[in-house]
Amino acid sequence: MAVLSFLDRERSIAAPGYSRWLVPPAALAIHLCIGQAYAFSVFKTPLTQLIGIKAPAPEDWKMSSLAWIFSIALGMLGLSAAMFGKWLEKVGPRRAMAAATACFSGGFFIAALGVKLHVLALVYLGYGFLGGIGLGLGYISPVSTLIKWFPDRPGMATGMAIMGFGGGAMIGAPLSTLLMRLFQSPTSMGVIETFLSMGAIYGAFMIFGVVTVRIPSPGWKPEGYVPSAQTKKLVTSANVDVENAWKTPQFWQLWIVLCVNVTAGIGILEHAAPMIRDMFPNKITTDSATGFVGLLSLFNLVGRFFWSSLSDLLGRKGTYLIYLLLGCVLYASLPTVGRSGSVVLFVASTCLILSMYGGGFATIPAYLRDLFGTMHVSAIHGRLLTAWSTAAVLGPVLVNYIRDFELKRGVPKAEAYSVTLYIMAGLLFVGLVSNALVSPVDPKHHHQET
Amino acid sequence: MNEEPVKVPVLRLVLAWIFVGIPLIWGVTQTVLKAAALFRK
Repeated sequence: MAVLSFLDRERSIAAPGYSRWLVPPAALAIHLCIGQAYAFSVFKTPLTQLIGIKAPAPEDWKMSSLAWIFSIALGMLGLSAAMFGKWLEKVGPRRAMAAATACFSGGFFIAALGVKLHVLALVYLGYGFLGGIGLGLGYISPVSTLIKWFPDRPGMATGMAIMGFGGGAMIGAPLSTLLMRLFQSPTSMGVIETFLSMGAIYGAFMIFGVVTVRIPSPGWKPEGYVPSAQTKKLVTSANVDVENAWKTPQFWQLWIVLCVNVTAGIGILEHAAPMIRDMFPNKITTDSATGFVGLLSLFNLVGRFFWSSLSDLLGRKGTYLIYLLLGCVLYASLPTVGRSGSVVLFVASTCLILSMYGGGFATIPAYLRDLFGTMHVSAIHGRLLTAWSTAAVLGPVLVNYIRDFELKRGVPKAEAYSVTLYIMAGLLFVGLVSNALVSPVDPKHHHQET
Repeated sequence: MNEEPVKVPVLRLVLAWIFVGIPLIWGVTQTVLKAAALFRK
């Protein structure tokens, strides 16, 4: 079929003269959409009042059941990225992006049907399961393409795309609220129409990415680009097959680095509003706590582009050294900063931490490319994202359980986060050691052309 | 694979960036407005 053959890898090879600057918008078109997942919480309250409308009715879905939607989506993100990465490398980014579009957009339509019929399992299946596959495929699909187009600035290129994921939440939350307000009526929360509209809008936007993306022809180099004659110890010119990559110590060292960096960041991001209110009860209102969460999201976004671009100059290992060392010091000092009563210092420290959390996400593809080459970098990245799924569980659990334990022990609210913050600092120290151990991959793992 | 050299018009590049830039700037603006509450007395 002509439409399907358009998705073939061969059809997406760029003709000579194609501008590489068209590829980041293609990647952004995907990431800006799938980043919506992090704004799913805006649907939680409306979904608990579908029948009662003004307040939850006894037959309405419970908040605890709805939490599973996001958990399934995030779990599927990690699983699909790990499972389909190798397929992606084989079929190319266009087909993978098309599959991501079908899953992510289709997920909204199935979820809308679930809301219409009031069958929660359909929402799990649509937004959670299918949408989650779209997230995983969409997240990794532009990575190796961008790295191949920007061999001179791989950190900046992947940073741009992954910054889009952060931006997606910033678009998704107000867009969902706007649409629900538009479709709301005395008899409906407007969720069905919002899901349908978002499925269509995001689908169209992602198709722009599918149509625009190109892969460079073999041997293509940017004009005037001469690979450095002086080889860097940690940047390989060889390639490692994904099946071998995950058997190397370097893969697991980076897995630990990503996992602890994300655990620490999520721990703060998820509990930012109650944390700042508890630590500064007389200075922070509910509104300003919400503002604090917004500010952290901005630093998370900017950090993705800033730090990953900087890593092209500092090297990946050096950049992670900054994230982990500075992060360790900042986390360990936050309880003292809290006790000092300085809101400005607390906000500045947490903003810096969140910028490095975002930076950690955005710099990892370039780190993988340095160590394992470009051949299977998307697939290897996909498998490494299981560290994210692990951290998504670990981070909030650590903060929740330890805070509750401390409160039960009679520790004042303002002090209840101290132990967690020290544990986070400890985790980052583990990451620091893991990063320090990273060395070039043993040549026995290098891919041999047959 | 298309071997014919192509020249991507600057307008196409600009439009592509505007297409993704507008929603991103809108989202960032909404977040900045939200974050501004932190600095209000």
